[in-house]
Amino acid sequence: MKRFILVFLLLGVAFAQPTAQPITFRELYNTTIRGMEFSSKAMQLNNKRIEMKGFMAPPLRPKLDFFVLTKAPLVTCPFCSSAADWDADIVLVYLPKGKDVLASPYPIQIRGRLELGTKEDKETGFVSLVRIYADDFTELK
Amino acid sequence: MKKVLFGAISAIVLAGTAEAAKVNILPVQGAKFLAGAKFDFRVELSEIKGTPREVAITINGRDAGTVFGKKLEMTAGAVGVQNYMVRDVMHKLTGKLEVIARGVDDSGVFVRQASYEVVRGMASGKRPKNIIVFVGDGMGWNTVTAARIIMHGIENGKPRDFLNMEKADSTASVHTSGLDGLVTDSANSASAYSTGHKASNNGLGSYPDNTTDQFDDPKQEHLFEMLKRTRNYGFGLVSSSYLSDATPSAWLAHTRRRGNYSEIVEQIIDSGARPSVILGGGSQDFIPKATKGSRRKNERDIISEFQKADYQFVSTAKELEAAKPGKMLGLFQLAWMNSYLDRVQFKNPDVLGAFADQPLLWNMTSKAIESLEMLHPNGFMLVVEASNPDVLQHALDWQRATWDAIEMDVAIGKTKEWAAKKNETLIITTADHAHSNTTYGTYNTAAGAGSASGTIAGVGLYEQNGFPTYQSAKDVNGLPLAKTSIALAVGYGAAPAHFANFIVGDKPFVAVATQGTTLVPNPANVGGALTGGNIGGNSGPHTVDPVPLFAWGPGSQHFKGSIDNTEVFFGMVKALGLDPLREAK
Repeated sequence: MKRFILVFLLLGVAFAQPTAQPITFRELYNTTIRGMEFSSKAMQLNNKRIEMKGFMAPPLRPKLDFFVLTKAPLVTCPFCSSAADWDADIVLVYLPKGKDVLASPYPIQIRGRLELGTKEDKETGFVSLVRIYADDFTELK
Repeated sequence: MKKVLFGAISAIVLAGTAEAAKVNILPVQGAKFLAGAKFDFRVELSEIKGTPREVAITINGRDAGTVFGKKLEMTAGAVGVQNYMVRDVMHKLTGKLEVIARGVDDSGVFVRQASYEVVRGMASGKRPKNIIVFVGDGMGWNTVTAARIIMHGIENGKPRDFLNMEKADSTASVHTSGLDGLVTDSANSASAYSTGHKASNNGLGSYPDNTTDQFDDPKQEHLFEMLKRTRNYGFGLVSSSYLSDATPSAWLAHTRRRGNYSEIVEQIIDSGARPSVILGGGSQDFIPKATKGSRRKNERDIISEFQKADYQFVSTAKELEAAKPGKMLGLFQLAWMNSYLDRVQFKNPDVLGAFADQPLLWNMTSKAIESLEMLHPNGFMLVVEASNPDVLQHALDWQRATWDAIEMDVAIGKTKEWAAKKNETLIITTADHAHSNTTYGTYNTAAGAGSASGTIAGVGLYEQNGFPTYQSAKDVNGLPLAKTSIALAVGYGAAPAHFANFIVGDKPFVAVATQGTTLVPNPANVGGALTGGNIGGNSGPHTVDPVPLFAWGPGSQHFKGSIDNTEVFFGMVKALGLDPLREAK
């Protein structure tokens, strides 16, 4: 009986997953020479399920449950050059529990809950402005 | 007698260095100085055994403190370390100087010698009033050659024309190695131009000392700083990079690490030689930390600070065009300005984003000259950098890199037209280092592409494929279109493994992708020919190949032959007849 309920609940979660609203890197911010602000589209999708395409940056450390999503493959590795820096519009992606960081040179499509606002990762001290708590991802070969 | 003395010192060196304290003298052995130019002097003792005694630091046999008229301060560092330092001193004697630092510790005598040369900036011939330096970052002879072929073409083997920069009164070949490495970075090499001293990679206007503080290293005075205090010159910085980047900031900044963008921008605005005109990219280093997109470490709002200091602020090509000449800050991108091809020929909104109206380098240059001429009738120095010949060669995107070199050449042509009216401006065009790009043939775009074998079949060596066809179609500014039927075939001597296809796309080329922590040829470029793989990393490196220097106008005779990059500084000083010792105020 207990097992049945658990399966039922899991199925329920899967079925209840709302459609992911697509958003692009460009659409995240209104950018001017004096800085960036979250766009109204991003604000509307805050805490909602979204779908976003990007590239996976090299992981900050092996065996992490998150990675950095960038709009283009990184030309300059942030760890190889003192002059390098992360782009301002990166997105931090937290993976579903139990899923490993996937390693792909192809664009990947991430689906999950969007979260806006400054937040520091407790384990690494990495500060992010935008996060996706992913429930699903696809490699776009 | 002298010979005997030096013989004795050499003997002591051999006897003493095995175990006694090690000695480091900054500026280094072989440094060359302009008399009256300011610098910091430092002697570092390390691995001292016990307590050092009888420490003596002399210049040509006299106590260094007495020679400088300022006492050296001693500071103890970590265990076994002692430092002696004096800031803001200058050499007043010309000729050869011998610095000797010696002493005794529990293991015996330690001694080190450094030979310096001190010169004066004597002018011969007509002196220029103004100096304009164009730096094609990463623009070796190879890039100049590709730019000329693309811009002017070849007829029956002869160039139809040469680039504006090449039509020079004097030409030199410049060697660029740094203090700590065979191959230089842009910080080190731009510092050599600005100060006449070598720096270490990542260092701006300073010698690396033994502390971790990145701002306390012994400084050398920049040419801007000398010209400000002696002649009250005005200054301009124009760059398609972010303005805190090494090449533009090396004319004013002093730090061991070029990555201190936030502090570097503060050094620029707080400098006594603050430029009157500053135009380029990188507003991310000017907006307060709390603003999204900022790279600053504090809440200083540098744009507002410039405005309070009566600088006009412009942020688009239109605003720049409309601006009246005068003190001006122009920032046209949050980070790097986009390449000429992206700004003018492709205009892909995904690439330009919010910055669709960035100015051309020649319009930035013209506005800077117009402003400086009005503000500083007594004389000015302007530095203009085309950044993308470097940034995009790193990315192995030679087309974008080369068109930015051509864009700079148009700016040089317009500047020469302006300067020709008065014959009082020295125009120098050079680079800070080269890249390993090389033109080895042509590429038939119809025959190639789609597959690796097709790509290779499209490459024409020697006379195959005939000459490139870039002359057949021009953009709104009269520059050849990058998309053409017979293109150049350009490759890299040192590059990570990547697929090269010779065809320029409307998005910057991304050669390498990451697969976890592994770097792989970007699968998006499959269909190109797999090439490179002779180095690690994900970008093309600088090379040690010499770079061209073209000088035009009064004073150009001081730049010729094969020279070290520090001699570019001394060439400018000689041209100006700058003598800070006599002219100091």
